[in-house]
Parts: sequence; structure tokens; C-alpha cells
Amino acid sequence: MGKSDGNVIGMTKIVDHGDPSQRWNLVILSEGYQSGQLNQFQTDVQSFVKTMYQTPPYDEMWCGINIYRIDVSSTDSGAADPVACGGTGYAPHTYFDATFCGDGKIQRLLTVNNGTVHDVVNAQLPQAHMIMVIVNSTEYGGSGGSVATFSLASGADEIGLHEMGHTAFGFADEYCYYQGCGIDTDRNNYSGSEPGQPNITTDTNRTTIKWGSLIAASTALPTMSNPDCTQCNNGPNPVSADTVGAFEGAGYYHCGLYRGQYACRMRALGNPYCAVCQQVIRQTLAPYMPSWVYGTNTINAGDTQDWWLWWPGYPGFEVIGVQVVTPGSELRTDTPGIQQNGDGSTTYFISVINPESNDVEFHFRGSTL
Amino acid sequence: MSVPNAQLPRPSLVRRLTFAYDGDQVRLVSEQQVTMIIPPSDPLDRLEKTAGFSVILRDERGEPIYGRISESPFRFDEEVFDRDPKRSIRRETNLHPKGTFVVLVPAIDNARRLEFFGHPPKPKAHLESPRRLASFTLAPLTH
Repeated sequence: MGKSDGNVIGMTKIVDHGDPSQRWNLVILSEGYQSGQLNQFQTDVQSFVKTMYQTPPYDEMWCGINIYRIDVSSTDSGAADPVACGGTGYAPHTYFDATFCGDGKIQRLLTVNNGTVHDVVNAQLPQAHMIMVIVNSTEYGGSGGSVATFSLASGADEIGLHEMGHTAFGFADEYCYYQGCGIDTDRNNYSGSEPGQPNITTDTNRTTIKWGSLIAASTALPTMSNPDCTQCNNGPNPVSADTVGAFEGAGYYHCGLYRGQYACRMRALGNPYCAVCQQVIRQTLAPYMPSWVYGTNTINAGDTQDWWLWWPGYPGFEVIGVQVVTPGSELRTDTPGIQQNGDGSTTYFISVINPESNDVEFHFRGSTL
Repeated sequence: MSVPNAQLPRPSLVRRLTFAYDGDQVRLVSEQQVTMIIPPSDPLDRLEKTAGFSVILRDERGEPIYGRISESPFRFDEEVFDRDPKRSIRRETNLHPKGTFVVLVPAIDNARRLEFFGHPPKPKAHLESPRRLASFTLAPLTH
């Protein structure tokens, strides 16, 4: 079992925005991949990274994030599937002992030995801020806590994004039930003190509510109340989808706790992070963003200069604001090129082109690497 | 020409503390000292007043010098995911939680103790008053 059932092959930095001591570092490990399947793990990680990059506000904070892939091989493929939860009884030998039915009762609870995971990460990258494990199984499942675990099933990467909300940004759950609507009998009215988490509150006072800066003066508070505290309120949103206010029903309670927006990834999978959560993510990641660098450069007549980037789309790594200093001259820039590297990472470049017959001096703005 | 941003925190020495828990028993397993950036402290006067969970670093006089409010890393339930969009996430009680987690705190010379403060790690704990859950004496820094 465990460490005798595989090997730590090594770590690769697949999104590289600089020294790990200065960036927010996400580590993604493989579980249940045999050594011959690790190429597939590279592809699976890239797929998650693409999803994360397309998830606001990670896109705009991307320059502050490093992502590392740790390849760990296992003797067998997949995860255990105990008969106790109606599974097949499959019991593979894997490095992190991944298993569905992780508590012996619930099939979709896919867990790993997170002590072993922390051992590997502490040895490989002690600057890690967030740890995820992708389990090589197409059966839907996952779990949270200090290590976010999810399978390859369609939509399971949402589990990773939800759990990152808890672990990395301290978000509370925004759903208004514990086990489920119509199941709970003790989740009617919250009677505790103000929650410490940034995305739920007991406070509907416009001047003191945690996310007051995001609430328009014209938005009523509370924005949506629950008329029957013995039930979840699954009524329609009374305001536009992007309205930030105080919506009753959050933190496992039907009434007495409020969330900032009608829908949020911390309330149900498949939603974006709400504006409140996005603001906290931005604030948390801000210290990890690179400093801007400004400079002046000269490009010879007729030349093309390639400026290497680490990811397309974010202006911090484009040569933006290329302002010509030389009077009467013009420069143009080309769409970024793409280079697939041998380690599975991707880098990008943008070309600055001088079509003039004279050398041209220009100002540029970029970010430090 | 580099334009430094004075508001950005610099990387500094951080204690990476790994804990293991079994039920409501928590023990410090290992410590590493590493240079990195961690979030600034939450307001110290809020740490013991809000519902939830806090990590509190205390000096030789017992005064808080750094703290973070977070989701509890050890709790008596599990988050369960389902394809049913009306119940894509839910909680299920786990009467015997067991696992490992990591806490990052600044390596401050006069830090003496690390505390976990919050609701007791047991079912329906949120109905009880927050309290000190565990306390650990920190070894002197090695730098």
C-alpha cells in the first residue's frame, strides 16, 4: 500500500511566472496513473490549467500564479471502488491510496492519503500554497480539505475550483442546506455570531456589510429573503444575475445567513465565482503579481523582434503600449506565436515589427519575470 | 527601468507547519522554514470574536501577533459532490475524521505559541462558542 506502490518521478513547472518565493504556487499531483500513462496526466493537467485560466478572476491574476505538475506513478491504474458503496470491488495498488467511498458510505467521496500527498509536496515544493490531486478515473468523484481531489469525469474539475475557494481563499459554503433541501430538520435559522469567512454574513446593514463596496445604492437589502425558514428558498432571482446584495440562505442555513449574489461556485458547482468571491481572490493574489517594468528599446529598420511571453491574453506579458519615440515612425505587433516545449509547458511570443526604413526607438511596458 | 511597488509584500521567512489529526486530537508533525509570500494577518481583534476557525500566532506575553481566519482544516464532516444540479454539493457527517494539513505563518522571532481557535471539531459544533482548540509551543527559529 501507499508509497511502495509507485514512485515520485519528478516535478515540472508548467506555468512559470517567476521565482516560487514571489508567486502563488499551485501544485497538481497524479494518482492512479501507471508510468506509461503519465503522458496522459500531462494532458489532463493542461486541460485543468486551461479551465482555471478561463475562470475569472484567475485570468486577470494569472501573472501571479505558478503551476507545478508532480508526476507520481502507481503500480496500478485508477482508484479503489469498494463494494461497501455498491462499487466493483476493484482494489488497485496506487501511491496515494485513492478510493471512492472514502468514508465507507458515500460512493462519490473520492479521497487520497493526504499525509502522503503532503510528504511529497513538502519535499518537492515547500512554497506550495494549494495542492490538488487528479485521480485517473472517469467515475465522478472528489473531496476537499487540505488537498483538493477530483477525478477525470466531465465536470469534476469544478470540484477542484470549489475546493480551492475553501482552502486557498477561506470561503464558506454558500448553499443553504447541510445534507439537502427537504432532508435537514435543524437548519432553519442561524443563531450564531458573525462568520469569519468573507463570503457569508448575518449583516444586512448597507454601511457595515462585508461586501458593501460592491452593492449599488439602488439595491434593496436584504435583496432576497426566505419566506419559509423551514425550507430552502429555491425561488427565482428577484434581481438581475449580476446584482450584488444580500441573499438569504447560506452557510448550511435556510435563514439568518446571507450570501452576496444569487449564484456562486461556492453555492453550486457550475457557476462562476460570485463578485464577492472574485474580489477576495483578487485581493489575496495581488501581493503575488509581478511588478511592472517600463523601458525603452531600439529596433533596427526592417527588423522583427520576438518578445517571449508565458501566457497569451494577459497584458502583463504582452509588449503593450509600444509607443514610438522616434518621430514619424510606426511599429506594428503580430498575434502571439505558440511554442510547445518538451516538458509539456507552452510559451508564447509576440513580434514587434519595424516596417520603417529607419531604426525606431520605442517605449514598452511589460512585467518582470 | 524598474518601478517598484512599495505596497507589495516582499518574500520573507515562513514556517510551514504540518499537522496530523485523528478525531479531535491534533499533533504537529513537522516544520520547515521557507522563503515565500503569505497573506497578511487578519485584524487581530477579530480572531476570537467571529464564528469559524482561526490560526493565531502569539508572542511571549500571549498577545496575538499574526492570525488568519479560515475554513477549519479538521472537521467532522465531508463535502460530497453529485451530478444532481439541485444538490451538486452537500455535507455528510464523518464521525472519525483523520488527515493532515499545513499551516503557513510568518517566522517571527518573538513568536512562542501557535493556537487553533474556533468551534469544537465535532458535529453541530457551530452551535457552541468558539474556544481554543489546540496550542503548540514553537521551537526557536533556526535562522
